[in-house]
Amino acid sequence: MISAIPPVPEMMGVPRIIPGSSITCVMGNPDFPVSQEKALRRRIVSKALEALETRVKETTYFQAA
Amino acid sequence: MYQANAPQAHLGAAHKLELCNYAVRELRLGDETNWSDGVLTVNPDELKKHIIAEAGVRRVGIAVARPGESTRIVNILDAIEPRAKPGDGQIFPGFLGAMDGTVGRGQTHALNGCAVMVCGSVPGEVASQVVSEAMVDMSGPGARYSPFSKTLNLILWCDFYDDQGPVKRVSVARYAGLVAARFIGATTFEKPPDEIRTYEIPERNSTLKNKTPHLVYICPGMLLSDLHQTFLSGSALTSTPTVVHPTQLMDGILVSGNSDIGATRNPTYFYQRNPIVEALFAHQDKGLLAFAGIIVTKCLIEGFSGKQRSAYLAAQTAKLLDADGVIISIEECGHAYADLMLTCQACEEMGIKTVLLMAESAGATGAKPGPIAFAEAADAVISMGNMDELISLPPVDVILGGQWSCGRWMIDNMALEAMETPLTNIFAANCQLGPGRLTGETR
Amino acid sequence: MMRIIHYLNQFFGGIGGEDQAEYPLTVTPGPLGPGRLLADKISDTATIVATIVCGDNTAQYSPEHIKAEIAGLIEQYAADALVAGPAFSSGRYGLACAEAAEAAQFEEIKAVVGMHPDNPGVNLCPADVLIVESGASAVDMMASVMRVSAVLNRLAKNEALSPDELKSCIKRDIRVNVFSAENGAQRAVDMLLAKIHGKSYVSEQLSPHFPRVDPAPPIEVPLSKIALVSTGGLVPKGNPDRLESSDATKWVSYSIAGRASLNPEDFECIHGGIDVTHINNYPNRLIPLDICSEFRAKGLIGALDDEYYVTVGNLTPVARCEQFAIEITAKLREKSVTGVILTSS
Repeated sequence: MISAIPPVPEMMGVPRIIPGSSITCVMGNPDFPVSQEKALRRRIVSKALEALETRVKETTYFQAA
Repeated sequence: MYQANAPQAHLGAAHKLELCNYAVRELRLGDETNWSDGVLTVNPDELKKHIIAEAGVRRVGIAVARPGESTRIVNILDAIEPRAKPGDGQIFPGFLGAMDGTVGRGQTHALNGCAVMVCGSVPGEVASQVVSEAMVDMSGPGARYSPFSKTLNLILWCDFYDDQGPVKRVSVARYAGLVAARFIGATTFEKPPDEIRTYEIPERNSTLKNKTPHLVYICPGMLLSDLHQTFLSGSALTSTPTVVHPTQLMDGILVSGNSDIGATRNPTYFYQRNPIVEALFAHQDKGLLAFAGIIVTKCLIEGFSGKQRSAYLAAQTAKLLDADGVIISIEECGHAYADLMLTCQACEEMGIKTVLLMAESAGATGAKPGPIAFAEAADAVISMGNMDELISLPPVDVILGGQWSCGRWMIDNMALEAMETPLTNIFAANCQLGPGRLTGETR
Repeated sequence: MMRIIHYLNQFFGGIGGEDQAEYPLTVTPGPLGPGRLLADKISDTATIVATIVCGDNTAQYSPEHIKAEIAGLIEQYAADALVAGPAFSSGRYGLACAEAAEAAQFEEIKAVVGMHPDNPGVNLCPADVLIVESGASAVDMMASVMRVSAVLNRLAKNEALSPDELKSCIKRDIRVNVFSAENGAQRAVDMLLAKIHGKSYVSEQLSPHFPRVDPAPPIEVPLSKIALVSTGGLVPKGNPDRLESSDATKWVSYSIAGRASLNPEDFECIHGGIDVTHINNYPNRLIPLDICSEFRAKGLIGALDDEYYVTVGNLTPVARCEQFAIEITAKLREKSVTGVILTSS
């Protein structure tokens, strides 16, 4: 799950959490030029896919760079 | 040109505030603005002229609401205690005065037991946000829920120019309130106070500092938008925590610019007369603790990295203040609780014990499960009650501040009619600075 | 004799299965289906004067309307009590039973509902409703009906429940407001000093314990079909299915077949709890179809579901979201999806 407020899914016990950017723009940044924003989104989605491929036992954060 | 004899030189080096309390037992409108023997009289025409000149409202109506009266005050934007500083003392820095060495030091005159309540209609949206309702019933079943049913209230019912948008209106209203508060506070100069309460925090090598736990108060203000925010010395908050002295709160260094959910607002009044600060000083007087300072942070931060930054910087600051424990309050709800929980977690990780104050959103039935975020480390939490509880309010004789309820939990009845409302619309009903006795229990 | 009105869904009301989930709310005098069994067990103390049958989707999609209708029928039949279910583990039925119980509360009569403890409807029932525990499926019908009838017999005779009968009722934590002797600030300082000195104290709020699920095993993404799901309320322009901006009563799915990106001309965000400007300018910021399409083209993702799934998390009860998740997962299984990217604000 990609969330801008990770403590929320953490409390619910979501096992794979990828912190997003901000509440109004969870996978983006309106201050960035388009290519930079896409690169940010690419990093977040890549982390999400990495999370899907990882065995976890309890809530684990997958922090995109 | 640099002045060698700066105004505050006469205060000396010690950081100490003498709060001169003038009790207000009766509030009335009359020919002359003055305080005498517990009776505060306000000349409405004089005050109106002053407010219009200084604040930029189009018109302002002035009325009195007393505890026990069949009066409902609606469309409340803020409540402020009348205070002023004699001589060169600066109050409400950033708005009415400069931020200098007199803020939090020297003498401050306070009219105890009354509040200036600023009301006005602010329609429209800013960044998907609106001004929400905040109301007070001065008697009846609703009175027990707001702290302001127990104060003598001077209502400023503001009317704005048509072309003033929401942000301008709340700003104008804010100035109206602060200007009125200082104006009225100044009527006490030359009069001896009922009591003088001295506030100072212990010196470096005092017994208190050596032998008792050091407690720090972490006080988040907020920045939601131009419409809802807390001001530190007149400026917007950043996510870099700031350390302030408790007495600076008493001189209005924190001013509320928040008119979001009425029940969970932190009004200016409760920054001036902050219940947590009062409780910490009361315990310090009994030799139970050393009050080590206040850390002002920002809550409702948009991004997770910002929330983490604020939380860990606050915790580190508390550590540098030698905190053994912190009390953390909060404003509003929703993802502000994520800020609160992250700050709690960060402090506990650094070995600082925490207690939090939090209202609840348990639904009208009380069966809704918990808040949006709750850290495992949060094992000491004060409840300020469930804001979703529905209460029935009777019709009233007098309505002040507006004709209709506004904001998210808008009610279809006219303001003076009987109505059912969640506590969310009641001003400061669940205020997380802890002034109220409402709390939650599990059945 | 206590007059009871009984609420059933389309299945237990003998109308049909999933295909009849939009069955309109109807009322018949006397007991129906499991109500006949129940009527027999309470015949000494109560009668079922009428049975309401309503499709689960009908109840879900317009809760206020349904509650009002049920309230009206309670008055019409002069019912003293309402019974709903047993709903067993059927989530939408459980949520509908909770609505019926709300209507009963509005009419100030007693409500007894039957459902499994894990049914999402449990947490939606008003505080005073008696929730009698039932098994997971209709296999438990007889035993469930016996438990409900025992409780009803007590209510009819105005007697307290026996310890065993109390045990058969699902206990929930209900929060109640009370006034304390001291204000919150004083209690906070006292609590902190106690905590620092190692003395005992009682926290006034405790961390809620949501049921933990075992994390699903990892998948090989280049060999898997991935679906995009969001609680952020992104819908086709015009919101054709009227998804609510808050307190959502449904989830919806929309086709993204042939799309490599979500464009602002065709989509909008109707989430009521946030400023939607940035998402409306570029919807991929909420549901990353642009990047996922890119990855799929590169072979990093095996396949993408041709639909995305959406609801709105703003002020939507956890219980209902649980039910949505159950239904969405069922649909995903049908479509052989093995991995989900779930996004929220």
